[in-house]
Amino acid sequence: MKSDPVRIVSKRHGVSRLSQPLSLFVARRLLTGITELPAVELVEEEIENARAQPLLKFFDDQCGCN
Amino acid sequence: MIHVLSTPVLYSLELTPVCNNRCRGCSNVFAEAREAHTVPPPLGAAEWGIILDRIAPHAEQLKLTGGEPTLHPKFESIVRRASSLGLNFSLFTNARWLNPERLVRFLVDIPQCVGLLVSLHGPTAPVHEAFTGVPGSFEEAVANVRLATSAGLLVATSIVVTRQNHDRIAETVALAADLGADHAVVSRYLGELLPGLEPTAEELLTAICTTEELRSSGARVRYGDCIPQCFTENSSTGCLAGVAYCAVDPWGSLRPCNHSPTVAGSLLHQPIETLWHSAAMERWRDLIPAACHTCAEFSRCHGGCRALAELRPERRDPLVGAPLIQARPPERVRLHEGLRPVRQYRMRREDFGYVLMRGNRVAPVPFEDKPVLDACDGRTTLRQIERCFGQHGLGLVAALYQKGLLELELAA
Repeated sequence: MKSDPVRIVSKRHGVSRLSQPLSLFVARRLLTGITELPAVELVEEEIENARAQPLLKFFDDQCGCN
Repeated sequence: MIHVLSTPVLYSLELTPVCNNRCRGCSNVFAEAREAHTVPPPLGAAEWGIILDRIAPHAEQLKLTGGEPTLHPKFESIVRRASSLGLNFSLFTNARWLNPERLVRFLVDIPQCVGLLVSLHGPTAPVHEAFTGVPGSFEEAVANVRLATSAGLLVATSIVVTRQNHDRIAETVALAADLGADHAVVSRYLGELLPGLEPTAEELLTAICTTEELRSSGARVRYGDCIPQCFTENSSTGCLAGVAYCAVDPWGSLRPCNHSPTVAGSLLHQPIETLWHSAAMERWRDLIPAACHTCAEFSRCHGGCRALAELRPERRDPLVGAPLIQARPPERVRLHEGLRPVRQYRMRREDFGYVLMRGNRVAPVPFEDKPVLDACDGRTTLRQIERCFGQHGLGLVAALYQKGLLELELAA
């Protein structure tokens, strides 16, 4: 693999992707009205934790680096 | 399209340019001047007080940084002023403190201190100090993280991926947990070209793969900055700089982010609204590559790092590639029908609708969805929300829950 990052191409180019809902950034394709909200199925039994990832406190969306 | 907030809600305050580390990868825009001893002294407590007064009506959360923020001679006064204004803040520090016991005691008594982000660039002294440039800095930081966590302060550790540590991520995350840290933060290097320290693409991929594997296994680790989704699939979130977030430098100038040399003007002399919507800020927002606006991941990725577009010879984030072209079907979520959503956010009206905020989490919601938000009152069940608002209402609730802006509770 080349060391130039620009040459790295994701293997997921052209395949299906999920966009983050409720974003301040709206892609042009979403302006056409395609929904990106999760599809919810309501069930009678208790679900332990529906979050995909645990919530981590503070700095969740903000640059915290060098 | 970008919904730029009417004023920023997240503020990074660079209290002082002074630092007691000598990080090779420091991306303070004033780092060179600091090394040449040509930086002017930072604002004093009174001037920082003026700035805090001006941003308080708009701010959801602050990040106090530097340099090393605790080295500001009036650090405690500035923190007390922020506290008196009810401003929550996190402290980004190298944990090399002049008087560790005093600092920890001081912060424990400040309820607005939501946590410390401490630089920990490796699992051993040689690896950590290859970045910090100061012998003994590892031992000091480790001891002080332990002191802070033992006192009950919430601590996260921050590792910047380098050539020296790209294959030591798991060990560093494990060390953070051993020290009592709540979680570890993995960040890519953002700055000017730095051969010898900056990882190659392969090395960065190694670090990202490790981070994703750790997250999948339940480890408490996340990313601290944006990694374009077209570089490799990853769970980082996009940068909000210039959109919801800004930096204020040690002399009171507003910048779009702490990595960017762009200066919009002085907060001591101009209102935040004027600076935030200035031509300089608009030019900076336009640094997002045009193709990113068509990418299926734009709403998550936000188009890479704009500061790198200023700092790199290629005039763009070097990790940004070609846009992704297809969206996959919406995520499927199963939830108990009797759960009752409870709001955990503050809300502000904007041109596009409302912005919901909780700490550093920010989400826009259109005006027409306000009735759904009103139903998240702790009394209405998901089944009732479905009856009133259909699948769209449920999807909105689920998305807000995933972002941490709602909690779901079962009736007693």
